Amino acid sequence: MPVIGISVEKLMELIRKEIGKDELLSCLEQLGCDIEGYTRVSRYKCEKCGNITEILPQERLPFECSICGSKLSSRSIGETEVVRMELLPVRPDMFDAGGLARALRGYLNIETGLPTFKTKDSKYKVTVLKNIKDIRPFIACSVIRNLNFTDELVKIMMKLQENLHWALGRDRRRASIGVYDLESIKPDFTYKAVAKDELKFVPLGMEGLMTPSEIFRTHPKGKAYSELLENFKKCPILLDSKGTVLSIPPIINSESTKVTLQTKDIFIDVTGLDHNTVNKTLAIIASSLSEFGGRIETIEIDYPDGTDITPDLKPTLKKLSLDSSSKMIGTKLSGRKIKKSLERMRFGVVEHKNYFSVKVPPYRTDIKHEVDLVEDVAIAYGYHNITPSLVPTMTIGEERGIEKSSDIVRQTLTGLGFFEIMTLMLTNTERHYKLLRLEEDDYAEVKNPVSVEQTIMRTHLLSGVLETLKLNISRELPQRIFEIGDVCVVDAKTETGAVDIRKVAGGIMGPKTGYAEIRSYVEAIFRETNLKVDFDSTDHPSFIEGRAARLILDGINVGIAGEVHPEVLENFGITHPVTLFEINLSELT
Amino acid sequence: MISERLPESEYTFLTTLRRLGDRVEMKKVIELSKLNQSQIMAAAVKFSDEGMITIEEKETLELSPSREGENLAEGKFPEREAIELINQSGGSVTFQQLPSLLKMKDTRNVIKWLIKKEWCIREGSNLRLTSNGKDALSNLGYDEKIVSFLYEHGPSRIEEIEGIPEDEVMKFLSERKDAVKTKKRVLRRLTLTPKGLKFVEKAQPLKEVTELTSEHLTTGKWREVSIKRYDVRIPVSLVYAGKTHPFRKIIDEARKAFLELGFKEIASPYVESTFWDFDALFQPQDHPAREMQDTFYVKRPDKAKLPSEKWIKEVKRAHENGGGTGSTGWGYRWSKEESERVVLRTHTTATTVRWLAHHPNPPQKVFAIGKVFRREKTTFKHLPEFCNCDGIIIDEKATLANLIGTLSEFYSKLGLKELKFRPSFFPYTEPSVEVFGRLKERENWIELGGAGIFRPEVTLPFGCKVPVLAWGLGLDRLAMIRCKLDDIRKLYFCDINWLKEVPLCL
Repeated sequence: MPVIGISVEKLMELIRKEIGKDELLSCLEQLGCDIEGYTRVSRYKCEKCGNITEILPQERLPFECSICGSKLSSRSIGETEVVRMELLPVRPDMFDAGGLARALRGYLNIETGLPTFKTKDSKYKVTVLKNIKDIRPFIACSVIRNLNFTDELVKIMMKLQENLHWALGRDRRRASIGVYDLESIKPDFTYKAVAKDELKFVPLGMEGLMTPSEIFRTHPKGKAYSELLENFKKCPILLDSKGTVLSIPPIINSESTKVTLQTKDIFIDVTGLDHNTVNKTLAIIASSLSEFGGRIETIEIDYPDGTDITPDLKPTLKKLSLDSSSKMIGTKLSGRKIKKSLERMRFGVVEHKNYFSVKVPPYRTDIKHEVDLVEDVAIAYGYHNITPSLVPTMTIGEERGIEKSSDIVRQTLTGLGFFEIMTLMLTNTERHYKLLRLEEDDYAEVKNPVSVEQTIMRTHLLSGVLETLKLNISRELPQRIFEIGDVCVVDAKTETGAVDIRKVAGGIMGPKTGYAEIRSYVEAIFRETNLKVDFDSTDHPSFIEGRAARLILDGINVGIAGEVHPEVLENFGITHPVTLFEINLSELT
Repeated sequence: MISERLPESEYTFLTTLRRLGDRVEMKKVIELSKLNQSQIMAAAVKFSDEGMITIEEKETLELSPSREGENLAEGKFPEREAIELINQSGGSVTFQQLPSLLKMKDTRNVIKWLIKKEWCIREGSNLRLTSNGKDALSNLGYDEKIVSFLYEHGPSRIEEIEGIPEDEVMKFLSERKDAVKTKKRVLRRLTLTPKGLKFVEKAQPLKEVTELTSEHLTTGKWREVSIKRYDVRIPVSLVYAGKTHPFRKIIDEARKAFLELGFKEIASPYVESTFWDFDALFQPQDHPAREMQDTFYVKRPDKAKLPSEKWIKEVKRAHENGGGTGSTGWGYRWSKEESERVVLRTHTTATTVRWLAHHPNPPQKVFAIGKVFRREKTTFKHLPEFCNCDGIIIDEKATLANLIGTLSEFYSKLGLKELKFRPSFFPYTEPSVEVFGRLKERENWIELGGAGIFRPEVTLPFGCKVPVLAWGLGLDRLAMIRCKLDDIRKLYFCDINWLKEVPLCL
């Protein structure tokens, strides 16, 4: 999960009340944030796009600016204290100091209830042409005026953009954001598709004119994201009335429209594949910027088949029945308490006879169902205030049968002085078959292994025992070890195509071990499980010929025991004699 | 009254004492009896307690020559060398002549001793031999005798130095500190009391044996022997109990805890369809957790059979628009093919949701403990496979308070002193809880796992209409801390010496 650092000074300023640092941390935790703690960061400013990069004391400055890809200057512009926390993907409205402060003001009873966002009609329009429909069909835009840009605010806005790309945008695929200096562009706007060499402009962080296809080949951000447009002949473009390029969504903005410290008013666009995501993303960014004093203005989006007015900052309505909170949380809560709790979580609430009608702020993306409101009631009530209790219904505990028989075998073997080992279920064909001179059988195979060591699921336990003995060859002899564990075998008859089998395997390493010894132990296991086992000769390639027996129970093969073949020992790098056994416990029960 | 039948060593001790008479030094007894020091000490303490001997203790000094003393003993004392040479030079020399005569630069020390011993006197610039000095030419002084005695006999106590009165030795010690080393010793002298003497007359020795044999027992001969005393403080060779793996012990503790709380143990396949691992849990098909970089997909078998059509239809509706669950759903087109893909299960919540689908009617309390798989590189902190512990409670009256209560009960059985519950987010629970705990106060909080109440989008498609409390907890981290391991690999790549040493009581 990505981690963000929120400036403590800025956050306190926006909360509008002085609170202790410990109190702040515990509030954030109770709101569900995963806090790393306070730390000081150094800030570096990109000379090209003005983006601020923050570096922890132990971190190294990245080579490139994460927004425009230009080389970063190594001169710090100062230090600041931040509170670091993991992003809570379900609450993108709390990704920046503005949104977080809005939530904290509610939680701390400084300002409760539904936040309202005044909007004005900008009278600007974006015309969406039909030819964009199959590439990146949706767009939502807004104008935000009266922003007093400082390095801090530029940083907050850029970081919010980056994190929304991650959380809602699925790395810019589903939705991506562009921000421009309103003064540098001339409304109205056109959003359409153009051929990749149809026009030229200067991309952010560069100097010369380039066509989109040149940008995709050479610009750092072009190279990073052009695969999103790979399957299309054309690419999206956002133009103003003079034909100035604002951006190629979702790749890069133009240099001439970038936001600077002199910028007062901005134009924002969100484009993407999903109408709802695009609109929610814009609602989050616009509502957050309004926390820094921005005045929001709407824009008309003209699709070939309809019109949107964006951003849409109207609340949505949800019903919450009167008793569902108390029932789910397990604490009797009055209607008044529930109403107050929801208001602290920034919902608008009207209490009716049996239910509440709840106004959900436009920046919340996670309220799908009544239960989502109950969770917010629980958070406001405080998880730490809930009195733990047990379900009143009586039930009877029962262990699995295979665990009972496994335990008898475990008791037998530890009583005989064996040490239990545990090994990994993932292995590879080399170690699992070849070193044991075995033919490959029906193993389950991983499609996308993370290492050549772990490509298949084990089908037997012998290789794990031998690998463990190899690890211990310089330890005192003799050694007696065993493992009880599951293996997995492909079986087309089953629902998932594979079946799990419980096995036990044991091994003895030492100068005097031999067939007679290992067989004695195997017989002891069957004696304790009350079963009669027969031994019959077998040619198992992992064992010395004539020194291994298959174990037969009611005519069924249930295992093997014998002296390990010297070639196998050599393959594993083991320099002492070893005897092994393996029994299928699933067959025993 | 102690038995007159004595172990051989004690009998020898007493008879030796009788032979040597009164106030016998312990050293003498050792020498003559051929017993060792600890046998003598044990016997001395025993008979002194019985009032049969008395032990006189006296603090004394033991002297041994230092390197300086050895040099003196090997050659001559410099002042003796001086009087011999002065005598040869006619009984008087000047101070100026002295260095070349003695072949030494600094003669101050020699002059000091010559004057002090009154072997010479000062006459203006001359040093003249006295009559004392002349006598000394043929007689060694006490100091010379002490040094040569020590050189010859080795470390000796003051009173052992023959022919020298003790006060002379003490004087020597204060004057020639550098010639000898001293050590405090206790001198013990043993004397048989009249009671002891009487006892010795009647005492009889018993044969000493090192082991009791079955012959001793069958013949009753054990009465005629004494069994040799051991020094029980000496270390012996080590033995180790055959043992359950420590992690297995912790897994068993967790199983036992749930069984005691009335839960039924369940299991499900390691190789699982994405339907049960993700879709049934309302994880959207484009959720990042489902991506190839986090989850092991399976090449063989590459396609799973799906359960009943009815379930598939309901799950599809829940994802797309909420269906009959009262939810808005995720708002995308759900694909059946996507849910037929095969993975190594990423959590044992796949196990509990399977159970829920097949047993939707309350009450149900089940748990599962087993291996799960995530696409992680092997490091000291992470392995691609680890152990999960999931549980669900399907109950008409189940609440968030019950969830917190059940987990508190469970973890206190596992030895966690303190727990913390915090809001969190999982796609399949609402409300969601993150559980933290610690073994001792002031230690770091350990992230134990997630919990919550299953969303209606999870339960209703399978016809379960009551609240379902659910949790998925990790056990590896707890195992590492309880086993005091700093590397998770040590749990699965077992060093037999570690298995031997790690106590059953973790």
